Amino acid sequence: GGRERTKAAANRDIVSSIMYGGGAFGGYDAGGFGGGGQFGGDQFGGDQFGGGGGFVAGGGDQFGGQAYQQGSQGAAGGFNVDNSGPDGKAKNAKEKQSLLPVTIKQLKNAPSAASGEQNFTVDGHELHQVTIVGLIMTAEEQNTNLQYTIDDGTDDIIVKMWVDQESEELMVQRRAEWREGKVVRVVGQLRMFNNSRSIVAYNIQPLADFNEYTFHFIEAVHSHLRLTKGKPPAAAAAGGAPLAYGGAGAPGGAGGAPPQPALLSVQQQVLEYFKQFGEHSEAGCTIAQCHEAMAASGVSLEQIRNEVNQLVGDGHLYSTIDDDHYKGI
Amino acid sequence: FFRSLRGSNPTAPRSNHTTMPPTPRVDATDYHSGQHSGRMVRVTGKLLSVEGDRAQLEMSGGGAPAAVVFNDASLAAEFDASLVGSGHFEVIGTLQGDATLQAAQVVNLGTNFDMGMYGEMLSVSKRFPHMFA
Repeated sequence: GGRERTKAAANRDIVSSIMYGGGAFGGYDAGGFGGGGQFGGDQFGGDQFGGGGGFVAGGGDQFGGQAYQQGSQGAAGGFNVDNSGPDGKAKNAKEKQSLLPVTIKQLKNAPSAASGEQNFTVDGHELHQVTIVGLIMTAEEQNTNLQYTIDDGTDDIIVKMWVDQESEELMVQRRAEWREGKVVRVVGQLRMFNNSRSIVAYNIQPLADFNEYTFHFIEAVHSHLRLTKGKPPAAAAAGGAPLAYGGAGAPGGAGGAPPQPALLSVQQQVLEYFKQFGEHSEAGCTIAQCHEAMAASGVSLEQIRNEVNQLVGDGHLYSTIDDDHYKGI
Repeated sequence: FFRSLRGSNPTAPRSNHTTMPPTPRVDATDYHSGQHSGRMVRVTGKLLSVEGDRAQLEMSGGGAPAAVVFNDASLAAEFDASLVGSGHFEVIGTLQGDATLQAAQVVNLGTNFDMGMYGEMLSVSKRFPHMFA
């Protein structure tokens, strides 16, 4: 499109287009942003980091192409980004191929899946391969494996890579690249032994372009929103059952993941509404408008007012011309 | 090689549990707010100046720069004068009461690091505390 968008607007559009199924409140394209500098999967590791462009968003699973081209050290293989179905849940076969970008904190807090002790879920989605990006804090070489502690700013975790078959030449290279102080991308699976969690790595790749470090966290948020989006508000209300508000963490608890992915919390939806639509005027939006927009979710006016008061108290919203009008900070 | 942050005895058997609290990423507002005083934090910014054992990093969110102090020559070596105005660094360190950051570890993020995107990532991340620190 020909519209100038600041990156801030682009980011907010990603959030809202995912939450509300694109264009539900009118005014924003559900499609991609176009323009220069899309984050293609093959643009990391090279110097093609296009300046000033938007993020490829839209349907929710189009984050920059299908494969991570891993730098110049030879292909680590392509990894498919999770292709979820329209209701937010991955199809069975595709689920097995999925690669979920996550933060270490999410891995540490992931509940066990109903299907087995070595299976975990994030946002109701059973984990297969995960990818993290973080800093190597410690590096240890044992007989048959290399062991690292990696910290991404959210938490740290042990990462193990089995190397008994590696040539000495490759080992020398690895020791040089995978050192304390290096930022790496790890692809692997979450495991638990003796109550402590670790990642068994399939691949460890030092970053060539550190914007990929930033990008990974944006992608993890994107993935989280996509998995927790659930059905559009209208369809959910038609079911008659009260909606589940997840948002803050573990889906369902110890009994296993609930059958539906949880929606964002009411407070998060309210915040998103004011941040997105409050921009259009000096006075922002009213509580009544927010209530109307969220009508299908069955939330009462009083509840919205309560959320707004909390958000004001936390410094996310402020009132404008009167007690009914608010804008995002 | 960088000094391990695991404490003074690097040969001690490492527990599988987290031995160090997570180091949250902070922008200029958090940095100067005083709420992280005495704690380890992670600061990312553009190199503004280098002088002896100190460096200044321009953080996201505007505001006064971070005053990084390093006691370790190997850390200081990363902050080459030629990178002033173009280099970017992530510094993990302890935020002192006087708003200086005692550096424990440094990552050189290169000269094409996008601070704008970083700042937006940081503000988005604050809305998802279950995923970030």
